[in-house]
Amino acid sequence: MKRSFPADCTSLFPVRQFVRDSAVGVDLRPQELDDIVLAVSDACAVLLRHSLDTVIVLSWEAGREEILITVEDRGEIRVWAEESRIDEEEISLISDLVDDVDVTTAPDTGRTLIRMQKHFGTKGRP
Amino acid sequence: MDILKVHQTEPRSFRLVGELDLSGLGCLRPIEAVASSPGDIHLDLTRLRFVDGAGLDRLADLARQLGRTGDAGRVVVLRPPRSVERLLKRVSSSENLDNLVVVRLSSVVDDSLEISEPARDLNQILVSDYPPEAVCKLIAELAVSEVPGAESACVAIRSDGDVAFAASSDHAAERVQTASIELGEGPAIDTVRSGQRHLSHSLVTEQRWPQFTNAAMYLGIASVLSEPLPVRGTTIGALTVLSARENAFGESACQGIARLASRGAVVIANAVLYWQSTELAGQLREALESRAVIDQAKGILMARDHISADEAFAMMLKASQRSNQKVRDIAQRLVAEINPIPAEKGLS
Repeated sequence: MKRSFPADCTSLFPVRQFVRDSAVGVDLRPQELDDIVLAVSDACAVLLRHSLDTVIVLSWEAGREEILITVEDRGEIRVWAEESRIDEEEISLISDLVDDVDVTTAPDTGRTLIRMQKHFGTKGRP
Repeated sequence: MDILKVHQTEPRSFRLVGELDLSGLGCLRPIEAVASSPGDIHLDLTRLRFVDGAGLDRLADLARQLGRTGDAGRVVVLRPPRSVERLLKRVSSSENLDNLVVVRLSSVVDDSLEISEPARDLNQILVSDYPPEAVCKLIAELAVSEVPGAESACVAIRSDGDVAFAASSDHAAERVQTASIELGEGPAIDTVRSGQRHLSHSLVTEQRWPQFTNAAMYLGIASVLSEPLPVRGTTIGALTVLSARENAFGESACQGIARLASRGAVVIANAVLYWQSTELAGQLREALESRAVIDQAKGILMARDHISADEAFAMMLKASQRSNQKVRDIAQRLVAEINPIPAEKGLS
């Protein structure tokens, strides 16, 4: 599932709603869902702080025991500068909430993608 | 979208309702203002569903800010949901914020049907203090606090045989309500017209209002409860609560909103009557005063220019049209400048 949102902080609530809706039918524990909702919302907030794009795109892919979520801008009108690079500290909370988080920025277009992976079920539970 | 409401329940106590994220940080300003002076701050987070990293940082900032006042002031966080509690404890321990205290009480949400404090306050409203729109807004805000499951609320009022938007607890509810009115369908409209409660547990499967459902779902709403505002057997409007969750409104919500609506309807009706009467009285008084000052001005012109009353009035009317001022203002100026009005500066 993929959906675009205006790159504005008022989109954070609809983003969370999209995640909650997408998670219906996925065998997540309440805390796992809370973690994913917060991680995605924060990833969007991080992107919003850095991007000058008008749109952010969220994709959701649920497997049997893992969920892959990506948040990206289109980079088209991004004014790329070293200081706009997302640093580790900004994603430390996200790192605590999901099993894997990765931020990549295309050097030519400035297009930024935050990729998060969360395990659940027998794979994610002790 | 205004998804966070901050209610100041006491000078240093606040209740946060909704979701706190980057977009809602501005709503915390009243709390930040209080944090600049020493003393504990109490934050009731019973109805806070979500907090993001930016919100967490801001709550931690409150504790830091209080620490800087030199007093042993604490930020006491009451009854946060489990997800929020976990994050607060995380930030408190990682940053050694000893004055950020989380208090988890056994009763998380009081769903009892006892008369709540704000509902009692509603009974003590002096309608002379609040125009009808403000009363409606207050009732919408009370609904968010008092109706279990409600995240936002709005009030629609019957107006000239139609249904009009009156007030909402936040921008989201306003958008939903105005969309409903523009589309001419929705639970509030049907509630006003029928005088019957309309409840949709899930807009995903809702069939009654297809256009409204699309609009509301687009705005993130998943369930709706609309209650008539009854006064002496007629329905003067509808109080509607909204939630982003499906099946958000159960029996306690229906009973809670019914009680609030029946009290609120009387207050709204009284406010409308009071302000209509006040407006009418004001218009009458103004008309009488205008008449008096215009008569005085006419007398001045008649005496000065030896003209009839009609000619004097026509003179003022002409001056009014030329200067784009009210006849009353022209007359008032004439009376104020009673001595003398040179002919060349006259009104003709």
